[in-house]
Amino acid sequence: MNCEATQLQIGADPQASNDVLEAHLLSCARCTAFQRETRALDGQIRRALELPLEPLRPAWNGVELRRPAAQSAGAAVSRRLGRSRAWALAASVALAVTIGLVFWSTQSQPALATAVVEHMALEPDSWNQRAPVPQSALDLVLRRSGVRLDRATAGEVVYAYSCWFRGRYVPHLVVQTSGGPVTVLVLRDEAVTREQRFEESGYTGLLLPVQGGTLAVLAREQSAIDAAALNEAAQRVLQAVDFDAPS
Amino acid sequence: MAGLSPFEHTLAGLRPELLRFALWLARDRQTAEDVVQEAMLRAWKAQGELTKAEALRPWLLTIVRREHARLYERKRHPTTDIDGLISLEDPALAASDDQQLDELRAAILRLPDDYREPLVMQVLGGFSTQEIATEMNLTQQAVLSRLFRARGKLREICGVAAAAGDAP
Repeated sequence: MNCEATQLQIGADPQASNDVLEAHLLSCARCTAFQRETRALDGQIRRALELPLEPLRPAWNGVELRRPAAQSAGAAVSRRLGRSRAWALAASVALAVTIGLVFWSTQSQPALATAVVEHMALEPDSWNQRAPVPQSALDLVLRRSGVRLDRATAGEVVYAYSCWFRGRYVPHLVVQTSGGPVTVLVLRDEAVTREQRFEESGYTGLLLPVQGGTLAVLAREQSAIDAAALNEAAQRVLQAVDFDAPS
Repeated sequence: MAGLSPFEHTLAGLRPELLRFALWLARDRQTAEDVVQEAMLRAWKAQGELTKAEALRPWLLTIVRREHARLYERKRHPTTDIDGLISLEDPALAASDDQQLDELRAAILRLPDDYREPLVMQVLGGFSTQEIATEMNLTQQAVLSRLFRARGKLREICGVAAAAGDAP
């Protein structure tokens, strides 16, 4: 083994050891020094890579976790049940779905507002962000849902995350306004028939119908954002959102 | 995290490590969070495939690495603004008390993907060169060369003169 091969091995894997390598090192001070320096460098690289990261969000997004859990449980139940019982179950489910659809057609707006408010509990740190979100990160979140946002019109986006919400990924944004942070959920394919205002669990918000979906805009009741300011922020976001971007 | 299964608790405990690994691959905190979230979901779905408890960590890191690769194949991300990343993207990458460490972190972030990825897999992930070769679909010789060159670049930046000449 010559010096070039030895140093390639050391440079590629400083902790590696074998008889051939050790034999060369015993007779070569230059390669021994190279190994010492490279191992020291590797210790620094390891320290550099071990970033002290604070999580931006909970370890598990509970909503995200419930999706496969439900699917998995359903699959397990199906396997266990006989065919006739499965048909009976299917009929029951169909009936429940029919009832649910009827109920939904009259009650969907409050249910949507409640779901939006419940989602807020999963992202408490979103309200505390101050730094603008890098454009590349915002683009990623929006593209995933096929949505475009005119950032200059919407205001300063300080939080952007793609969240699993009622069966699809939706952009969860926080826009900084003069009165404080306002959260925006861009809900593609969620339909509300008219503008709806809600106050629930410490939040005040609006559901705005737009072509292709609904915008949920909300603020914390304790913030300095009153109804007029919330409406102004909502209108700015409304102008800035385009649901027709390719995903 | 009430109501989580033992597997989910274990996953949650490993999440910071997975996030750190993903961040060095993606160089973007939001993307890294996305990658880890997807990877944890995939791991949760595929937990039946895991037969040995000691294989959990490398299994998860592999899922994270594949999820990152999958995302990049699909999305074709724009070039990352490294200076912006260091100063804004994540407090952990902002200036620490150790200037040399800061410079080294910046240097690692600036390494080309082909060099940074195997280095992160080896040093942070604990993968062998053969495992890296298999995972990256490269020959082991190519992995050795990339790792050598990655360290060579970092040696230059850290002011350590290379004992040998050019990389093989």
